[in-house]
Amino acid sequence: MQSEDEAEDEDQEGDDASDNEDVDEFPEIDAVSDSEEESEEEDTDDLDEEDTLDENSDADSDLHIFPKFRKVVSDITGQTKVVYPEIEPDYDSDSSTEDDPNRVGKIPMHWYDDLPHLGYDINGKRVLRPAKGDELDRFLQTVEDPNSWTTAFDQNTQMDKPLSAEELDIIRRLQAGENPDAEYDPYEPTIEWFTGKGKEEVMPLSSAPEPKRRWLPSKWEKQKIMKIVRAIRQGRIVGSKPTAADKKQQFYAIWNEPPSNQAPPLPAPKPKLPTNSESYNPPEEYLPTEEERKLWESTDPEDRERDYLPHKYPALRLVPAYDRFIKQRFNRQLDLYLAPRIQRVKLNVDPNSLLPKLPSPNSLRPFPNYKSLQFMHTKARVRCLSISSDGAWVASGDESGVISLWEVNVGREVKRWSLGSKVGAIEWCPRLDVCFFVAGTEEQLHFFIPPNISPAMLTMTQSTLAPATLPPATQSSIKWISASGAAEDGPVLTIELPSASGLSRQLTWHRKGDYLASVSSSETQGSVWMHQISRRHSQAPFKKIKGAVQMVLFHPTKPHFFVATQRYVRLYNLAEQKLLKTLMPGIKWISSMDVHPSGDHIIVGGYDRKLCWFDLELSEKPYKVLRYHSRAIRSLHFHPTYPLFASSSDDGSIQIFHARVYSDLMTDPLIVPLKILRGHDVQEGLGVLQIKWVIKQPWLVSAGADGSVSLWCS
Amino acid sequence: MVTSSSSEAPSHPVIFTTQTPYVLPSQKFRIPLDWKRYQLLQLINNALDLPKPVPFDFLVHGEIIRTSLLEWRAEKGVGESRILASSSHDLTGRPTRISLSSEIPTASTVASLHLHTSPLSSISTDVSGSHLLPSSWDGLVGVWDTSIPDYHQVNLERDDDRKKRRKTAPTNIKRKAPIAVLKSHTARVSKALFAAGELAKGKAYSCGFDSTVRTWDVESGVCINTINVPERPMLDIAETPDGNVLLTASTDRTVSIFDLRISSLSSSTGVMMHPATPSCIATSENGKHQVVTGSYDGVARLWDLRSTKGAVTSFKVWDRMKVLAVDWVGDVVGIGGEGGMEVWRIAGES
Repeated sequence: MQSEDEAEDEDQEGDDASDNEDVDEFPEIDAVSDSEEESEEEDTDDLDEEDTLDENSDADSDLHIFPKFRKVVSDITGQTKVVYPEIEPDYDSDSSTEDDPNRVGKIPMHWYDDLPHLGYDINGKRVLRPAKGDELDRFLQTVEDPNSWTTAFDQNTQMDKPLSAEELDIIRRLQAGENPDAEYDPYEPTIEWFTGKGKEEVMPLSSAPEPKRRWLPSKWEKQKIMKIVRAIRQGRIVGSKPTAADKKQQFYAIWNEPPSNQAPPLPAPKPKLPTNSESYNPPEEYLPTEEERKLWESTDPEDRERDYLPHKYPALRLVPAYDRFIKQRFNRQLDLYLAPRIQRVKLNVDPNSLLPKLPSPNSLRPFPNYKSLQFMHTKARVRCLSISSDGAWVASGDESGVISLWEVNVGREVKRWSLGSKVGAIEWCPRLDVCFFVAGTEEQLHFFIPPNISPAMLTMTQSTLAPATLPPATQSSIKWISASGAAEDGPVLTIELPSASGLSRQLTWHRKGDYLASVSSSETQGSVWMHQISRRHSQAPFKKIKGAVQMVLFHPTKPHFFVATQRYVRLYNLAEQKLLKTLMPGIKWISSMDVHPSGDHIIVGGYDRKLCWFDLELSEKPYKVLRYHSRAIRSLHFHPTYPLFASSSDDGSIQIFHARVYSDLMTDPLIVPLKILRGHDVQEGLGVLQIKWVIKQPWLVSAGADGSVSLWCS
Repeated sequence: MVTSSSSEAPSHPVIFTTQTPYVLPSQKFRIPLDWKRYQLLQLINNALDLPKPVPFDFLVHGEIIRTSLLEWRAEKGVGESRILASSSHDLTGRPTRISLSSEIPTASTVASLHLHTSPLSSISTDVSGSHLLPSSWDGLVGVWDTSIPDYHQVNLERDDDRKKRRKTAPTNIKRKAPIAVLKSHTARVSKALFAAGELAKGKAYSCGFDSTVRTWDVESGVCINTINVPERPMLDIAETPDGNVLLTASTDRTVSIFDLRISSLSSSTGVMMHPATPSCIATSENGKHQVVTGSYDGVARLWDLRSTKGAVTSFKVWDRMKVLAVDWVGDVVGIGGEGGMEVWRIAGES
């Protein structure tokens, strides 16, 4: 073949160098297409035809259009390998360098159908359309040319070109159904790559993840890594320490914990088992009668006793499909969904059990519960009252200046004194061997001796009020004046408080009956005075006191003194002359106060309706705040012997409480509301102004703004 | 038999009553005191105008007249005047002679009883009128006889006191000392009275604010028995005429009944509830079971001891005024209180 090519090269040296290849391969086609060179190339065509025929007739092994290869034994592997000859990079070696006369490229050639030329060559000259003979010429040519059946129309050149021997060989192989590659050997010997001695692969494949060493970081990833590495080196990143607990195996004693006392979750409710009537063939007695059927059909589905009608089928195979399947499944799901799965412990609290357990008032008798009698002051409202220390007499004073002395049990007035100004406070002397009382009016305190006392007591009283030996009188703004003449009808002794001190709001005796403290209503500093009867001496215990003093009280056992100002209650030690405690009741305006006979508890009432119980041992804040009155509290009083106290208010009611104080410090005082006593009228917004307990009996005496003084008996 | 109620020196008004079927004249006769049974028989037989004179016997105060009325009166020492004992807030009790001899009764205090240091709450006498039993707020019950002493048995403590007392009391009032003091009450004694009935002779009962009813042996002055009723201060005590039942009024609006026939009585055997404080009790002389109580609401109530649930009847004496004392003699009930004194007749009692 090479020899033939060389021969042809020699023949066509005069042709264009560009057409060299075409000429080299298909010299005949050129000649045929070109009508001018037709004659010249006739013979060469024949020659080529022969060559090709020869080639076709050759054996397959001989005919090689691809470069020849040779098999050599590799030095490295020791195997045979196919070695192809080196490709020489000349024009012949690559088809891309083949010259096509028409350089229009791969365009649809029918664009040039109407044109005389086919396209353009590399120099821009037109490639003229080759002459196309008519049908007769074509027929003649096919008849004449014996190679015409091996030609094919070439679009690019718009003419028939004879097929090369390789192309014909490929066509033949395709026609024969063979592999078009002539080199392909279907019967090649198998090459044992992995079988045989020394060729076995020992676990050649692995599903292990890609090892990290194969990872090649990018530049940025490298920078990021270096940043972390530097941080670790400088100690900015510290890895978590492995704890000892992690290393040790941990065991849990599963029986150590007490079993849960919670009930296990309830099992789902079971569906009802089918009954006889649900059978496909129920006995006759289960079948509904006509009326029952009608009744069942006429009732609403919710009202039906059962959601099916028994039906009888002669055989199981005649039972139709279950028409209510979906409905029944849905209902079952609904049941499961709505069925409570946990036992909910209902908080069944009896509201009565939340109330504090207080003993019944009936078990706490006696306490006053009815109005036994009423004593009337006809002219004005009764501000104050006091009960004698033997519990037999009541002295009550009203705003018109009348003091009535009357007997507790009958309510008979024994004596009446008329003072000029209104009476603000009355207090009996607590001593049992003397019998007199003090009434406080505007800027004056009057001492009265009741009639009908035994001669011994009268003598004692008179000597007490007029002591024979007096210490030398000191300069004081308080004057003590003894009435000399008509002692029977007037006060036996009068103390004149400093002028402009106003109405005596409160009087209180020390338990020994020698000291008397008085509180005047003036807002000035000197509103509290302490009077000593035996020395006829008065002094102001406080030079300066914050706030307007509302009430004062002596401690029943200790030398302590309670002073209630508008907001606070202060406890002073009179012996050491210092402040012991300040109680903060949280009341806007304190109206009244009383101390328990034990001295450890006080109650404080306010105009803002609150009643505070203080345990002096406990705190400066109230132990209990009672707010039972609907109007301002006016008066409070502890019973001296019974465990009772009472509060009176501007709402016209008196409330009785049981107040038991235990000697055991750990037990809280028991306060039980017992009774509300109503019977006083509210006049001009004022109700019950003062209450006092009868000393030895559970009886209460109350003075009202309606001018009545009532005795409440048990 | 015929009884006359009382007599007089020259002539005395007399009313004749009888339990025989004879219908006696109901008017008051003035009879001369020197009359004897014979004159009285003549008077009655003339008045009755019977065909045959009936030999009546005459009783005065339960005694048959054997002498003239004047002699009878002198023998008994009563009749011309009565002695009334009173207790007072001025710490004394006073027997007062009330003379009914003239048309205008006159009263004069004959003695004063000095013991107590507190006002007296009540005074009572025994059946014969020979002993007085005042009770006081100081917890003491004194026993006095009714004889009028010739001299002061008690000295006054101080001169100035005597001076003062002289102004009010005349000097002829003799101060009397008690013959016994019953001392056991711890609080004021409201009432003390002598026991009625033959069996309980020489006994006395008292009640007080210490909620006790005490039985006393007056002779020895010793408390024999104490009935303690907790938390029931008592205001009054009364006894039925047969001496079987004691009644006490207390401030918790109850009248307690104590049946003395029950041995070892420790509490009340019944109560009569009142709407207000009962202040006084009176038992009837002839009916055994009727009781009148007066209370502070001005209502007097008639009770039957056999049924204590409610009052048999009640009569409002005054409105908003207290009844402080009741007494019941025969078919009349006297009621005293803040409204004054009223006498009611109880008719139709069984």
